[in-house]
Amino acid sequence: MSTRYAQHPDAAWEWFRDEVVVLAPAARTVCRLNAVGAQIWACCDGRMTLDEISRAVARRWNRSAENVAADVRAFCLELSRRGLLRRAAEPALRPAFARPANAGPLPPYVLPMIAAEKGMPDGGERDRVKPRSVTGLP
Amino acid sequence: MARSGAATSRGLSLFGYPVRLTGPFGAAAWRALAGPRAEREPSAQPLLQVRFERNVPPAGPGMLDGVGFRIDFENREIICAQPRKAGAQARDDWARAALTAITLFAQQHGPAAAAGNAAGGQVPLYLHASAVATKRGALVFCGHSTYGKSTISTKLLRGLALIEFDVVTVLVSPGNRRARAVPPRVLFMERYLRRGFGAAAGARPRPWALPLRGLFWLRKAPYCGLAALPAAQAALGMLEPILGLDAARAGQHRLSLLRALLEAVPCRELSFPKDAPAVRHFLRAEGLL
Repeated sequence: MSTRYAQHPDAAWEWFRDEVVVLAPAARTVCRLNAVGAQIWACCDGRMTLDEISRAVARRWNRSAENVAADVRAFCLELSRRGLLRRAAEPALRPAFARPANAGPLPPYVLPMIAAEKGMPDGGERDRVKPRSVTGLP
Repeated sequence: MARSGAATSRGLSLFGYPVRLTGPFGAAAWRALAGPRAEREPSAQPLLQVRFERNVPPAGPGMLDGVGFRIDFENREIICAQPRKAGAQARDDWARAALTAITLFAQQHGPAAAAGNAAGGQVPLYLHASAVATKRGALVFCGHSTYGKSTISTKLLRGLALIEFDVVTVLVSPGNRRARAVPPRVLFMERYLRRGFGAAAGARPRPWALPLRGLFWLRKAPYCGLAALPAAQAALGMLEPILGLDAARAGQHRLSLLRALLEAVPCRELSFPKDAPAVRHFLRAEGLL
């Protein structure tokens, strides 16, 4: 699971001991996250993948990563549904788009990436497409 | 013909915050608010400017309307209309409008913006709660509507000085640990407004900000009891009302103020029956009265 989630930029949140209260005024949602949820929430910074988060949670609570992976994914999906999390862009794709204006046309291997980025909101599809595109890199 | 604001500009300390009063009615408002023992004009940069006009001008962007006043957040200004009431009633309205503006300002621009100007470095925080004054400090009772805030403060604990019965202003010290060493205080508006007015010569003024002795989340029950309440659960209950133009930013600031409050004084769940002697006896046994 290389999916990444990031906290919604409009979400306000604060630690209360080991718990977290999250507030998303735009989505009119308020959530209280327990210690495990708070750890997952804090890890959702747009850089850590679900696998990495699962490993971090498993390490802290003395569980196996395989056991917690499904729960972590379901939790992130639920917060995403409530408008508190959103899928983060793949960090590896960013340098390809951060080109100066006078850099000339994009190389052909970047175009499938753009298509995948624009046309596939579903994470599974993007995960499947990305490796094929990356293999074209020099 | 209205005189220029600069000609009538006066400064004073409102709730410990430096405020500048201007406008055609600024001098009258200053005399009413400052009282017979006027506080020294603050030398610090005023947190707010309060302009008193005959009528409140039309609202513009970045402004918030209140009853008889308008808050311009960007220019740090409150525009108050000339009140139809007179004397003490007008003074109370002006003071309450200024307190509302200071509170909203703190929520909109962040606690640090207001704390930097305040004398004690404390920031006002609204709570949907009731409060009573005891010899040892203020007891604040929180809860949603119908949870018994008014009942406990006005009926069950009758005889204690009522601070507020619906909205309580708590002065909180946000920031680092050193700043948080100043304990939260509860604003006793009535005492603040009456300070110096009509008091006997030489009488010691009673404090208008009391130390927060206890913070409770109410729960109706057939018995009396106190139980620990997780800070996050308490914060969730106290989150409303979030006031401000930018709700996300105001929400973040309110959460940080609630955290500072709950770290200083933990909230406990108070179960209570509708039996005044039992409640009083229980609170006295707990050392709260």
